[in-house]
Amino acid sequence: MKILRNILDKIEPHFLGNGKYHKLYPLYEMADTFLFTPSDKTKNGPHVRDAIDIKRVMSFVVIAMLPALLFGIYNIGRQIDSSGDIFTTFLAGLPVVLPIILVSYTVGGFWEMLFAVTRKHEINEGFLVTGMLIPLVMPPTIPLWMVAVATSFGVVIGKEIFGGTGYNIFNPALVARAFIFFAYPGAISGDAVWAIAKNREGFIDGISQATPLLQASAEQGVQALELIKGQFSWWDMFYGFIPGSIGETSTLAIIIGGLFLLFTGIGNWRIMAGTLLGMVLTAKLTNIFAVAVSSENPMLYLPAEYHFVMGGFAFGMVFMATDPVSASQTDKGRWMYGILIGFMCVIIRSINPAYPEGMMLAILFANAFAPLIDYFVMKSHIKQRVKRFAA
Amino acid sequence: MNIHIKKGHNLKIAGSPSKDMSVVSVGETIKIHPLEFPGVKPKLLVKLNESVIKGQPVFLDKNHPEIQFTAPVSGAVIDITFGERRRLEAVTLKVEKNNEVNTFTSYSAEDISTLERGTVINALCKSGLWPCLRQRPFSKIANPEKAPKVIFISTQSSAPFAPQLDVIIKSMDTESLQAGISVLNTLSAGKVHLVTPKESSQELFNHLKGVELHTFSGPHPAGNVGVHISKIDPIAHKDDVVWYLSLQDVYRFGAFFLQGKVDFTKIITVGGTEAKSSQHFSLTQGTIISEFAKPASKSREIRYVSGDVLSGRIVEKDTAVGFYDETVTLLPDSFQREFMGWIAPGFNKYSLSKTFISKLLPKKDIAFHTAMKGNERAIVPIGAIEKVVPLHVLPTLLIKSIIAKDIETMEQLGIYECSPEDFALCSFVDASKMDISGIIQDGLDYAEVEG
Repeated sequence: MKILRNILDKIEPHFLGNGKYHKLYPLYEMADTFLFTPSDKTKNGPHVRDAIDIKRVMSFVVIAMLPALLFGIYNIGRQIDSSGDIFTTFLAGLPVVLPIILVSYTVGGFWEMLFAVTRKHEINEGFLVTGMLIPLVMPPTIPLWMVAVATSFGVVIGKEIFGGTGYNIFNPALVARAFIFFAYPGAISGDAVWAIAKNREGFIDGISQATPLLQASAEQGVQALELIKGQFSWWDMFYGFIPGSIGETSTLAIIIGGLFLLFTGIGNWRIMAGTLLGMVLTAKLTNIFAVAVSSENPMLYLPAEYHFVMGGFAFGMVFMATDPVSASQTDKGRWMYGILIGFMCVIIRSINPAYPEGMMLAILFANAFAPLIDYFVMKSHIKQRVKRFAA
Repeated sequence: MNIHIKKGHNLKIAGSPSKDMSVVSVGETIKIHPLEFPGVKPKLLVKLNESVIKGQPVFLDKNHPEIQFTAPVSGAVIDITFGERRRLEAVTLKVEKNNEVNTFTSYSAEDISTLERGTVINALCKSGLWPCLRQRPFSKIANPEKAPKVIFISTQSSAPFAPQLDVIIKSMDTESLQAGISVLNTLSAGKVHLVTPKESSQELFNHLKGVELHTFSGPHPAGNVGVHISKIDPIAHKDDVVWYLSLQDVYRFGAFFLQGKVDFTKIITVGGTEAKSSQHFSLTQGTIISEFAKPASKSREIRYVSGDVLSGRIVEKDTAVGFYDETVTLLPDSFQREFMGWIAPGFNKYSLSKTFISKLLPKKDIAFHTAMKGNERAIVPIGAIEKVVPLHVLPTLLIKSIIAKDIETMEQLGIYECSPEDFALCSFVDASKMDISGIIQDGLDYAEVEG
């Protein structure tokens, strides 16, 4: 450690003031504070500080995503070759997932550094999270160049043009996914991208297998549960042995990550609870409505507990909706924001026949409304304040 | 009424002062620092080498010439320091051990309550005691021309290492305290509120007249006067003025009117792991910090803080203890950079977040040093700061409105109720390491001019 510290201290002058590499100071700063806690002292009160910093906050979100990631790799390995033990199955999935993660981190990291160097600010740790979120919401068949383009779009348009982490309106990872959805719909919708297998020549390729959500909305006039009957049981979907985006299939793994976020206080419980509540209430209402009017729409019949384990709902609730920057920033607002997501998710899933996966658009929609929600919370707070003085 | 606070936190910091008390006799020199009075434009009334006696004016405020600042001891002016743009930084007096005192009119206890408001203000201003009275909003010296709606007396701070009320009241007699409260009653037609910690003895206060008693309980900032005002009689707008002062000052007011002499002694604490003796001290205002706050070790780097660890100021050890400060804190000012601290399990880390193993271990007092423990980042609102502000405000939105200099929203969200010290814990817990107390101060400065 001492040697490493000495080396860093020795090269530091090159990155300061008139040093040879002063333009690259953000890079030095990143390496320096990655390896050692910062040397900064408090300049005024409070003279002592809590040990938490943004690096820890962001890396804890990444840790929370690990169960979903590990299961995702295993699930893909299982699609390719399910004959071996857990470990070999896992290894079989690795060559598919690892390149996607590498591309996402490399490309995103490049933009992050470029903006940090040109704008002379420190490199923001927010990308640690975005760089992991993007691979987890991609189908396993996604071409790597598309990951690179989408990551660039998500980081630059979704975040950096607003000023970087802390200033963005939309969740950058969802912007990246929405970009692919609108620019290359064939790569991220339909029934041919969500699962892979070895083809006759031994190459890994996408195979035609519908996700539960797609299956459940496939035919008019039949109820959703009838449509998935025999193909996917609730428990399959809960454990995650289904086709889908890399990190989204296992509700169990996501719940483990979610509990970690809730326990550490980094994921906001109000947002998660609100999202769940909004989804359950809306699903109940659509169920009642469907029966009342004998609807032909299969998705209107889907019970809440199935909405919960299908598609990106759980993943979005735990990891996307809770992004503190693009969510509402008041406690009451967080409830409303969550409820809006849950509501929109079910509505899009049921009413929009072209795109059964509603979670991505629901969260982006709520991101756009978050400042408005906060505005109303603020107005009612101000009213309360006025009343307080009148009394 | 008991004010119970849920939002807040008591820092478990090592170096708490004991209840022992030592009397610090006046040293060779004492100092007066005009800069510690916010908004005051000092006009010097003494010359170099001139002798002043205790209670004689040293400077006055150009904005309010009636408010005078007087010498806490008799002595000769041996040094006058100016800072940038010739701002008066310090006046140093070489103490002369004579018993000369500037005397003022004394009154009997009965007479005090019949005094005219103008007479009282005049006496307090001339004696140099007026600056003890401060006002909210803005936490500056009370404006004698405006009557406050109410006056608050704070008895014990809930900040780390603050003097204990039962130590302070040992040397107090009911007569002077009652006289002090009568003085306050002549200044305001409104109520005088006195707020004590719930667990402390009420014996001394129960028989006081002209005062409404309250208690507080819960974690810091439960003892902050800003929190008491917010719960008892909140500040609605810029001209909704509340005055406040500490119990020791009330006592000083009373003794002054009964005896006609100013007494600038006060009880303070010294705390922190770098302090040789963490305890209570009785000393004269203006005493140099190094004369009583001795370091535990001569070799280590030490930060001297006048005030508490959350909202005090960094000072040199040869400056005087702050006029309003009742605590001096000595902290270790150097530390080792830890290897990959951001991901380490953290068996010995102190955090209100639950991201360190230490959260699961038994709590003990921590020897804090002055590390920032992170780099400054943009606001990432994970809801941590909301848990430590017991005021009726929306902290994140208020902070944003201040950064955006949106004066209207700032006012509607209650900037006038706020004081930086009430937000010190926000800066403490914030993962983005933002100077939230500083932002609140900026907001107040901006609102004072533009609002």
